Amino acid sequence: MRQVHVRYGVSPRAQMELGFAIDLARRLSSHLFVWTEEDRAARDLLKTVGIPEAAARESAHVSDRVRLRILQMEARLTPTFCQGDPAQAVHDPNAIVVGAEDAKRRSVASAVAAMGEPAIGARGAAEICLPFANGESARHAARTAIPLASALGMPLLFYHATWREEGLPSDAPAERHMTDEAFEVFELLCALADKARVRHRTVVETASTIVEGTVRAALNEHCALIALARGRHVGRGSYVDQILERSVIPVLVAGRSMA
Amino acid sequence: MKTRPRWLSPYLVMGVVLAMYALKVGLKLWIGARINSPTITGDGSHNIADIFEAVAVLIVVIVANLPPDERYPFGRKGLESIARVVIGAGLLATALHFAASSVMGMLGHWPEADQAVRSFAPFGLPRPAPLHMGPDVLWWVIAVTFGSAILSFAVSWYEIRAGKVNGHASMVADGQETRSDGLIEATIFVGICAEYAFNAAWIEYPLGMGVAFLVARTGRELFSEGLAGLLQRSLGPEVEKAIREVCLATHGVREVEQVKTFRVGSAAVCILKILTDAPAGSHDDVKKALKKRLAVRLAELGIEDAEYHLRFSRLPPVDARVAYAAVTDGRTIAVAPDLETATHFIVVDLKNGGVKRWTLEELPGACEGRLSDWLAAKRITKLYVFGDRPATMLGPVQISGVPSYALDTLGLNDPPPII
Repeated sequence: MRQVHVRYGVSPRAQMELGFAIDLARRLSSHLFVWTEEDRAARDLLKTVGIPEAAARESAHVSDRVRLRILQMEARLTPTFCQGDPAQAVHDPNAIVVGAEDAKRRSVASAVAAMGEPAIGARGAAEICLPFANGESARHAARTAIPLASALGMPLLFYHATWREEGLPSDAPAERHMTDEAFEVFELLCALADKARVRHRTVVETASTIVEGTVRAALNEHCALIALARGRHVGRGSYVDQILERSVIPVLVAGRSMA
Repeated sequence: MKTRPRWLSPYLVMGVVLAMYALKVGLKLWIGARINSPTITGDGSHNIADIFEAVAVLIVVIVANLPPDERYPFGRKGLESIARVVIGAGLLATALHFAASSVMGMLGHWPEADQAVRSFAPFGLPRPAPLHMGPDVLWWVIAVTFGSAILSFAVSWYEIRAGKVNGHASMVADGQETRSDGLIEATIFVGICAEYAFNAAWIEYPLGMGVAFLVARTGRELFSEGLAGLLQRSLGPEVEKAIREVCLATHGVREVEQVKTFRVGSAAVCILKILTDAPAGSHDDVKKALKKRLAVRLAELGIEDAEYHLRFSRLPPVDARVAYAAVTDGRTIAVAPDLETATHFIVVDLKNGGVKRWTLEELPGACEGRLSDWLAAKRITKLYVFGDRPATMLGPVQISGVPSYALDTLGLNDPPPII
């Protein structure tokens, strides 16, 4: 059973992420973990002013509010409350942490940036976009995205943006511009999806840039989620970071363990 | 870029239409005079008017094809609406005349009734004339009337197809008018055949009534659509609802503030004001996706040619200033459970609920007993303390509980280095 983790916060964004996590946990029939910051110094300070049970009171208040939200969403979940930083504390490679900031980090678990959306597919979108190139990252993303698509009952859209190959006629289909390595990755992805019995289709185009092409294709094709993984050897300018900056669709970043 | 087949060129089509009318006019006037048929002669005269109409449509097509410029930002396709109104009005007049002819033709079989009607309206009522037809001209008559009807239907299909492909509403309207001509010609053919073969000319008249109804319906549609284009009537609540649904189903769109739709010629124009909280860098992505998805949806609703003008605005910021009762030892800050414990206030400027700026301020000693005045002077609307408590009022300021004492949980990151 997949775990879904989320930080508790009072800001509108944090509340949106809590709703997103509750919905995801319900749809995946998974366990929900709600995290609060562990501020020991503040707790000790409150002890000195005569409030020894501040941590317990905080836990009770947060618990009440989360349970109320779960009740409002009719989710029938029993959450677990934890203290600390989920991005560091969660070591389950199958877990998903919901949080925009967590998606920017290289954590063990996968992370979803909700992008202000209340749920995956809240706007009627039905597919998970899985971009691929000729490297390993699409394979890593697929290890998270395909089981997730299977569990959510959503088909996959394999997207590939390729450079134009000189010498081919101008009206040649985009597939002919693909490299052999990209074809290998594509065949592997198809095989993995077929094995998991997840429906899939492919869009290949000669987009000007990978990031622009991916975000526009996901929007044009009405995708509900973009699934990515960070390349192990990428330093500055990761496509994942650029897509996180640019996308308005929720983005799933596969965990470090998937590599 | 997709090229249109040459055989659908509007100029070629209008050339064919003009040639057809010229042929029909010559044949109908000749055969009409030969057999003393006012119906065929009248129809031939009507076709002379059709020639002028086709020339007018050709001019409209040429002018409407001129590209938009500074003076005409939406182009000159509005001219097509004028052509539709004129053709629609012409069809209504034709239908009225044809209906009157048919009614009077039917009344001709009851002389008393005919006399009575004519006594009420002595002028303007057509008087059907008897036919003088012999075997020497029979096949010519059949060829001209039947051939005209077939030619009208074929050319009408061609003109409507080309008009739709090229986006010329005036051509579509003219094609519909030609189809109405075909129906009238078919009725004349049936009437002449019935009169010659069975001496049962009356068959023509009820058929004529039916045709008049169809022609009037086409005329009304063209007139109404043309008028809608001229007056820039909206595309209707169904289309606007579909537009809103497509917008709200697109990621990045928070609200659709305004939808304005109208037609310029056959092209629909949609002016949308979209509220978004997407990063500015993604506006272009959202805009392109929206245009693509709207084009698909409107095509489903029968609107093939549409122009979109999308304006993106940020959601209006909702600014507020709140405060947290805080306690600090000079190194750490925590939210205090009540005002008695508090040593400081955290004054927070919120933008759309998110923390924009926060400062730590010492509890004002000088305003003992007048805390609400101090908070109000700072424009603070809400004061939070740690704990679950019902909201109470302190003067104009509402005091509520927050579930955590930790600043990070409350979104109050990056505390000042010197407290």
